[in-house]
Amino acid sequence: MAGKIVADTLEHSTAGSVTTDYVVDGSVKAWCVHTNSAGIESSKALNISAGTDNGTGQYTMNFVNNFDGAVFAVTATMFDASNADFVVADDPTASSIKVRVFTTAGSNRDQKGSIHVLGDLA
Amino acid sequence: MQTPEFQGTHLWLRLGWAKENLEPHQSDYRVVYEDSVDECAKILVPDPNWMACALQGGILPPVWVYHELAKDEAQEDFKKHTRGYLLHETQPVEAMTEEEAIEYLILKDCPQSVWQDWDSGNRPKMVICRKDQLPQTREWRNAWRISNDIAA
Repeated sequence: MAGKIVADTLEHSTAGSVTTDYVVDGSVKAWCVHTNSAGIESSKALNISAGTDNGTGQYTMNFVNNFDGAVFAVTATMFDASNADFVVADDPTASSIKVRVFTTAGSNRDQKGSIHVLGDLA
Repeated sequence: MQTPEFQGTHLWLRLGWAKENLEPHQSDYRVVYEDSVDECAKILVPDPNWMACALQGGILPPVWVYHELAKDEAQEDFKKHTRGYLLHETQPVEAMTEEEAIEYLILKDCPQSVWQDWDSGNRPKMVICRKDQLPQTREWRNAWRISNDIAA
């Protein structure tokens, strides 16, 4: 049966305690695994409305629930152990984040990857 | 599956409910648009979880809410959203067809300069197509443009 627990502190029997605002504030608010063409891999995403394929190695992930501004923490990765590529998250807005993957020579390259976004929602 | 009464419930919590209870729906539609003469065509790809919310109804806010938030963000002195409550307090939209959902997504995630007058120039700036109508190889991805053969 669905229920609700209202608590300010979670306490372990020996490991100490944490206030629940850390749990709320520290939760990932948006994430996805994207394909090399800005699709969502195997429906693995939360709080993403759509991906935009902007060109080779350039993707925008659009949020359903906007963040409260353009300042939030993003971790972007890509899944390819055979290429020493770089991935950057760029141009954040309250409603989207861009991801770019490029080689050591500076050329963009299509790659499957993932993003995690933490911050304050609108 | 009956959608709970979500007006007043935080949108992010609604998405959590949807992820637990709805089957994602992979759309075959793609929106191809050009918003700059100096750049290749861009392609909007719906998220299957979002599409499930759109088809279910009672979850997503009306698209005008996003336009209001965008107006706030465009203000010179914008620091952070103060009208985020619009996402959570406004009556959610009812169930949409997949086509209506794509139209919603265009209004939400495509630039206004594209959808406002997409067919008023010499050639259309936007096309809705199926994914199998896109080139099957990405070898020349940065050269993709909307075909001049497309009728407005």
